[in-house]
Amino acid sequence: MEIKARIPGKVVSLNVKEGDAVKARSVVAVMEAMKMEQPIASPADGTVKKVLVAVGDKVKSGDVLFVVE
Amino acid sequence: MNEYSMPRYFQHMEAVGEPLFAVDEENKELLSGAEDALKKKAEEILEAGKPTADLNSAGQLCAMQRIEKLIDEGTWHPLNSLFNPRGNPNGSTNIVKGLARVNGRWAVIVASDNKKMAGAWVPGQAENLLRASDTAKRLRIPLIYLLNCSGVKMDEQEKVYPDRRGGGTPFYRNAQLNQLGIPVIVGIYGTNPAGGGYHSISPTILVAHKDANMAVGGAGIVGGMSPKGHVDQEAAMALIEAQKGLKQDIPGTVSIHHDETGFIREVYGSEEGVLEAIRKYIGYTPAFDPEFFRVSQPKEPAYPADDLYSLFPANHKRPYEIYDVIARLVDGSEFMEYKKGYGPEMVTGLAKIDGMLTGIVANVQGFLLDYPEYREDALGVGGKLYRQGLIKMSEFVTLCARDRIPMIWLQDTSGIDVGNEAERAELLGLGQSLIYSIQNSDLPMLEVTMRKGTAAAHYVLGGPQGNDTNAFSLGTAATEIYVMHGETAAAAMYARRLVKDHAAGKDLQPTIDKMNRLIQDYADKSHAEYCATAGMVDEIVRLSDLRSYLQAFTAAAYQNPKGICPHHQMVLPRIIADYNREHPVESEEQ
Repeated sequence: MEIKARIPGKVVSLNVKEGDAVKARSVVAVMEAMKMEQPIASPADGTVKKVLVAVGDKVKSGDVLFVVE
Repeated sequence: MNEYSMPRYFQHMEAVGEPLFAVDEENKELLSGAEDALKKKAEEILEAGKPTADLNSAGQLCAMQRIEKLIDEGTWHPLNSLFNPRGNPNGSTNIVKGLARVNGRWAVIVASDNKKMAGAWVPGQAENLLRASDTAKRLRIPLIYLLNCSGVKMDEQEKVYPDRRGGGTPFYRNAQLNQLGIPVIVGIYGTNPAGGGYHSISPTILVAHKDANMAVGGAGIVGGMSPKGHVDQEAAMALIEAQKGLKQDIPGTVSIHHDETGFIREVYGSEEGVLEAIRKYIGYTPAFDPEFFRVSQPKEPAYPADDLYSLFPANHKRPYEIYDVIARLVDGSEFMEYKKGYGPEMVTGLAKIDGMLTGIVANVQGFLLDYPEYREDALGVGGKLYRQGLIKMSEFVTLCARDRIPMIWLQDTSGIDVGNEAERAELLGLGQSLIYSIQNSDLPMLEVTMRKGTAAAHYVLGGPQGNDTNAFSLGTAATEIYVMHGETAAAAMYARRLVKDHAAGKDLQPTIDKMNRLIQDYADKSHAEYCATAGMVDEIVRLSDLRSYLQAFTAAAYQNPKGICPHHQMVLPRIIADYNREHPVESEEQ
């Protein structure tokens, strides 16, 4: 399952690394755009397989941030 | 058992909100720590002045003791407890004010703070009194004075006595309340000369303590006319003699104003007797039983208010789910949303507070994809107002007015969208249209600035500037009110200077320093405590007390309303039901 950016913006924090277990609704990253933060939540329980961005990266809406299984 | 009208609309509205996902200790600490600090400040202000024990040993109760004995237990909702717009050194305007139930009826209560200069008129008090009469007028509930007012603070008379909204204005307001059929009841204690005399005489019914007096002028004035324009030894001796005589003949005692003029309706030998009499007269005033207006049995929200400390971020950059907030404030966490999806930056809809209908309007936080519709590749930001939201709110207010439903605004706004696209989309006209709709509604409204109140959006979202509709306004420990963020203001003020200096090869640092000072100044003059002191809000309320204020407002608004719309003749619930049938909301992908 891919977790994508819903908005264009900057990644300001990553709360998980590859191999971490995540729960549905838990915040895995925070993005920022237009002076506002956007928390990125995991849609389901699972394990982080891939982290495709780093703190400070600028991403477009639709870019894949994480792969969770 | 009670039965209610139109059960299929009102009994089981849609449930909103979700259980708390995780406790946020840091946020909880931040918010409740700030709330505790503000509460401590309010308590210090209340305690300032003559010790209560001294008043008690002289046979007097203090203002707060009088209030506690007057009201129905547990119903005190203080207002303007930090209000001190003119910077009085004791932190107070020498009155204690709030909403409470008295003998089963909601009333606005103003008590002279007799711990402070025997309740003297001080700078800022008139404005506080006018707010009390605004609240009583808008909610059509009695105004009660527990009066103990030594008159104008002599050495600041120029800030207190004159002016359009000064010391004398409350007397016109009492006359206006009487015209409107809203009773004003006064319990008179102590010495009340001049201004205190008019505070005594202007209400509808006067009850006094046996040692009280009220007069056109006090003893000092009667004795103190010196024709010389200054004081010398001879004049001083004359004053001493005059004072001795006055001790025996204080103007306006109950022997004059009860026994002779009959202005005072009843006199009591004890402080408590006066309060009991006020309760009796309040019992004679008109009030519907809330059951008359209920559409459902009162219910607590489905989720605890304590959740708000985790799901409502003190950090203004962080979004929150407004449905989760509403779910902690309204009966059964039930909400009947008007035009969900249209104008997605705003949530409007009907909810119940203690079984009575209220119209709720709230800002949505977070990002809005492909919105507003008038901008290409748009990304909307919650808290901003756009075309659809403004139109939706105008419709909602107008329909609430038609159906006579009091309104509650949960405001958290960074302003109305700007730029030429916004101008073409008519936002300037639509913002003012909403003001027109609110003014036209003639409804009682409560506004809560949850976090940000910014730019004209603060006005149009039911703000206190609507003097004829806003009954009172509240804030939270996270409230900030300013025309714009300090950084935006610094940029607006100094950007051109920076360009000029840069081109001329000048040092930028002095301008940068000025900008940072301005940013700090904005921060210092916009936080919750500042807002409460200046009167930008009427009280900073704990998140856990917010529902209680909403309940007080709603019950007061339905106590003796100006107009009634029979439940079965309301159109708003039918419009919502039909709209929802035509526009089923697809579940949004996270």
